[in-house]
Amino acid sequence: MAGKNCVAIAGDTRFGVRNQTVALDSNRIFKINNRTLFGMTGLNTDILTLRESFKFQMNLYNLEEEREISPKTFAHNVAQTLYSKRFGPYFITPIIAGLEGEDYTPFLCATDLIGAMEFPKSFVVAGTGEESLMGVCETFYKENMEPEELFEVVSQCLLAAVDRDALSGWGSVVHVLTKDGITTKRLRTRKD
Amino acid sequence: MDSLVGFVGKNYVLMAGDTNAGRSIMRLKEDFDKLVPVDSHKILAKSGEIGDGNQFCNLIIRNVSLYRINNETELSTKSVAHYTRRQLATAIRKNPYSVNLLLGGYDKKDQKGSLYYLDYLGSSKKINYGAQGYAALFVGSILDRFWKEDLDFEDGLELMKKCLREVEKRLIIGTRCFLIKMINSDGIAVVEKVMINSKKKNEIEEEN
Repeated sequence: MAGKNCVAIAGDTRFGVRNQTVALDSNRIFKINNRTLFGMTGLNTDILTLRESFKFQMNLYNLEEEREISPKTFAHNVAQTLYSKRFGPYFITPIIAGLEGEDYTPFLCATDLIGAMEFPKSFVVAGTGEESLMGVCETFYKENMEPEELFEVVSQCLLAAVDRDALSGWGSVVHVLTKDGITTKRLRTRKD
Repeated sequence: MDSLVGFVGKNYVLMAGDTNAGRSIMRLKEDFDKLVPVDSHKILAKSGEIGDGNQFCNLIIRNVSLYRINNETELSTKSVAHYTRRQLATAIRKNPYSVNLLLGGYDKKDQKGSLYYLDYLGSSKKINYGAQGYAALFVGSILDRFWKEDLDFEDGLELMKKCLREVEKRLIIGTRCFLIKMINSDGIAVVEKVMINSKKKNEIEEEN
């Protein structure tokens, strides 16, 4: 979700195989650089493979360009990587959240599993509970929220949505990205 | 059909697997060791297709060995887990290996044991306790309730037997015989080969 010169990204931390929970501390939100956060939902193996692939690509980018990648460019990179497997896709839904440019404009991007991008101004959702998330985010979202309020709204949205979704929950983590840095907090959710 | 259970204790990792090898409804072998040593301080517990398990575990063991020969240093458990995961992830879309694994290892550098859950798709997760196969459905809740950080070896063994007792009692597919192995700073040791019969008064017999 986007706020006033800040973005927040939140996700649950359950790792399960269909209806069986295996682990409660899997992290699916990754820091690309100080301006970009990248979250993925979907098949765990593809999340790990793509995480390693993007880490490699970003390291190479930093060395060649001698600067950090901007969130918009990274989003396009993600889309290209996913479309390159158009007929044998990675089964993930990525979300990119970042602060773009000199004046730290919030940037949000969501793509589908084959890289079709959308750039909403307010919020993006993904995962098994995406319909619930969409509904509750639509209700609670306001424009130009400060970081503290943004954190509250994002947390409450995530908590409400995972309560309804059987496959989500078992702990959650919320990252708030401002120009001063990233604040990370863990929340307790329903464990069922 | 295969049951694998593992958890991390105080400076050790305890792993157990049933010793049945079967195909469809038939039990081919009753003393099949599913906990293969990768090197002196790591065990790969395999479940799934027997052939795939053999081939894939051989691949991992030989490559870990090659790394040690080339670089004169042992790989950490984390590195072996990542390597194994990468092999499974590249194979899944080409020539899938139907093996689900538990990788347990003790690292002398950190003086800690670690356990990894790896499945045939290439998912990987570092866990404190876990199981593969049908056993996971029974044993998951027992471990949730009774596992604690830094369990002593005696308490750990008791907990493991509690889990295996449950698997023998409630899993409709007969698995009586289990092999328990431990990894600690001294290496891999076979703790016990247990035979569990929940109908008898003295449920657990040790077999040597």
